[in-house]
Order: sequence, then C-alpha cells, then structure tokens
Amino acid sequence: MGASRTRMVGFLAEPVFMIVFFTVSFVAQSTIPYIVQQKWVAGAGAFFSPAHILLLIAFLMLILAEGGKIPVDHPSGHFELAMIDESKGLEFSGRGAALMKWGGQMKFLVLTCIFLNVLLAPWGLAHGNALGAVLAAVPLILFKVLLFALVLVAIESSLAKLRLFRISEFLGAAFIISVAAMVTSIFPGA
Amino acid sequence: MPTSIPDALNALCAGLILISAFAMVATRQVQGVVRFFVIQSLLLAASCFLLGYSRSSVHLWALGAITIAAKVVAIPWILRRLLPGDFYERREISQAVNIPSSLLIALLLTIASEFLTGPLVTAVHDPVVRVNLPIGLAGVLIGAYSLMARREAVPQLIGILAMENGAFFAGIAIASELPIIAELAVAVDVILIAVVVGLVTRNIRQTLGTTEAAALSELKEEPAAWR
Repeated sequence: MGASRTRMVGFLAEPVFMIVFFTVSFVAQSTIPYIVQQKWVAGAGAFFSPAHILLLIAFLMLILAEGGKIPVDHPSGHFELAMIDESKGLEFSGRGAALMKWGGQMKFLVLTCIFLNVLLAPWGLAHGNALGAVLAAVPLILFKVLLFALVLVAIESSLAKLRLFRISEFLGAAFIISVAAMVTSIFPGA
Repeated sequence: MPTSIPDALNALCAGLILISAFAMVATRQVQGVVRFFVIQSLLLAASCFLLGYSRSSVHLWALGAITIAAKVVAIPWILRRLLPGDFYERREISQAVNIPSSLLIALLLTIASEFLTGPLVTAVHDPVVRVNLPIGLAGVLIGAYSLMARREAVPQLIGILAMENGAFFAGIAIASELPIIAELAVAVDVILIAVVVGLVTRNIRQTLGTTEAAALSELKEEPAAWR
C-alpha cells in the first residue's frame, strides 16, 4: 500500500520536477547547476524576478510532497492509512526497513540540497577543488539545511494534513505555479 | 530585468501577487479566500510604496496607504461584522468548475495575458512595466474568472476586488502620477461595494438560508426548501 501511494505521489510530482528544470534552463540557457546558480546571484533583478519566486514556491511544494512532510504525508502518526512514505517501511523489517528509511531520507536530502544550493541560496559554495574550500562548504550546507528544517517545522506545525485525493490538487497547484514560472520567463515580459 | 533594489523587490511582490491570485482560485474556504485577498492587497501596497520610493512619487505613497486602509483593514472588518462566523468557516464552496480545472484555466489566462501584453511591453523600455503589466492583467483576468466560477456571494465580491487589485498593480507601473482624487474615489467605491454586497448577502441569508448565487435564479414566495 505504501509503495503504491509513494508511486502515486511520485508520478504526480514528476511533471513539476521536469517543468522546474525546463524553466531553469530557459532562464539560465543551461542545465548545468553551476551556471544556473551564477545566473541567480548575478544581481537582485535576477534573484527577485517573478519566475524565480514562482519556481521557489513550486519546488518547495515539491519537497513537501516528495519528502513526506505534513500537508501531504504524516510520517509520525500511528495510523498506517495516513502515512505514505513511512508505511513503506512497515512492510519490511531489519535491513530492508533501514534501506527504505534511508532511501526516503536521502531523497529528501538530495531535493533539499538542490533547492538550497541551486535555487534559493547559491552562496558559499566551493569554487574549484581546493581542499579547504570544499571543507568549508560542508558545514555551510549543513547550516543551510538546518535553517531550512526550521522553516519546514514552521510549515508542518501550521498546516493540517490533506486527504489522499487532495494530494493530486496540491501537486497540480505546484505544476501550475511552475508552468506560470516558465511562462513569465519565456515571454518578453520578464 | 530590473536592477535597482526597490524595483527588484517590486518584482518579488509581482511574483507573490500572482501566487496569491492562484491561491484565491484554489481555496475552498471563504475565510481562506478573504485571507489571501488581504495578503494580495498588502503586497499591492508594498509594491506601491516601493515604486513611490524609486520614482519619488507622493501619489503612490498615498495609494499604498489607501490600499492598506481600505482593503487590508476596512473590507475584512466590514465583512466580518456583517456576516456570521459560521459563514466564514464553511468549506467546499460549490463551484461551477472544480478546482484543478479552475487552476488550469487560471494558468491559461496567465499565458494569455503574457501573450497580449508582449507587444506593449517590448515597446516600453521600462523594467517595472515589463514586470507589472502582464501580472496585473493576469490578476484582472483571474479575478473575472473567479467571479464567474464561484457561486457564493463573498468569494464573488473578492473576485471583483481582486480584479481591481490587478488593475491597480498594472496601473501604478504605467501612470505613477495618478491624481489622488481618483484614488480616493476608487477607495470609497470599493468600501461601498463591500458594504452593499455584505448587506445584501446578509438579507438574502436571513430570508433564504443560503448565500449561493445559483439558488437565487428562481423566484420563490417562501423560504426555499432545497437546502
């Protein structure tokens, strides 16, 4: 049951993901993350452009859905019907359960790192492969993830969980917002 | 691309105004619709202040202050006074079109407004007009659409007011020296609309027990029995 629900959320989230990266490549004329983040930090005009704001909101909704956070999923509940990502782990035990949990958390961490380092706060990354710069970038990304986790706590504690069939509306709204981001970036209006 | 900091923050307001227009279409609860309208009006006022600062125009400051007084403070207060609390907490406003389709239509309206303002925007080499005009027009169209799709009185009223927000957001970029008398007239007008619609809704609700506009299409002598 958990696997089929995760699959449902996954394929609803997929178009949002694709449109977000299309938009990014439209704006930055590139799909390489390092070029994209240079585009955003180029100036306040680029950072605060409507396309960027819409992208951030869409990607945040995507993280909430894919990372098993409260408006979509309620991992800490005791009721299997209310869980999505967590109920996958209930069907396994031992190493299997550990791998399931690990996989879910890794998905969340990867999405968060993309959100923070490419879209939201592309500052303080290592330029080049000097050992000191890389070592300095590691605690910085952990700090950014910590700050983002605090924001997530605020979001999770202020919202109620959606019903299962509202999830498609939630991700539909994320899709609409990401397409609006693309529209405002490809027309001459932005 | 806008470059100065106030213009950049104005673009931030533009993006958030578009999102709050989508949110007004997507929200089921009357309370939520009013809340997103207040947020949108606050963003409009912030945009007025930012443009008033960057273009050193007193009129825009006045417009921002009027927006806060009328749309952020007065209209929610009037609606809350006139209509009972259970009306606000009701969910699932019945809509002519369901919410995902409404959002898709709102997206199409956004695309249309970008497409329609494209030639105008390329003719004017002003970065603020480039940001404000398409999103303001999208706000007008989405407000008009929610006026059509919603069936309850208060969300319809909010649809009218959201149209006005969109028109103002496009207008402050084009004509920053709007005479203050026009702004005042519009502000009083908006409050009057809210009072009239609120009173009418209250009377309709007392007589018929519903505030659904669709239920008013037939003439009835007695309180309706379909609800």
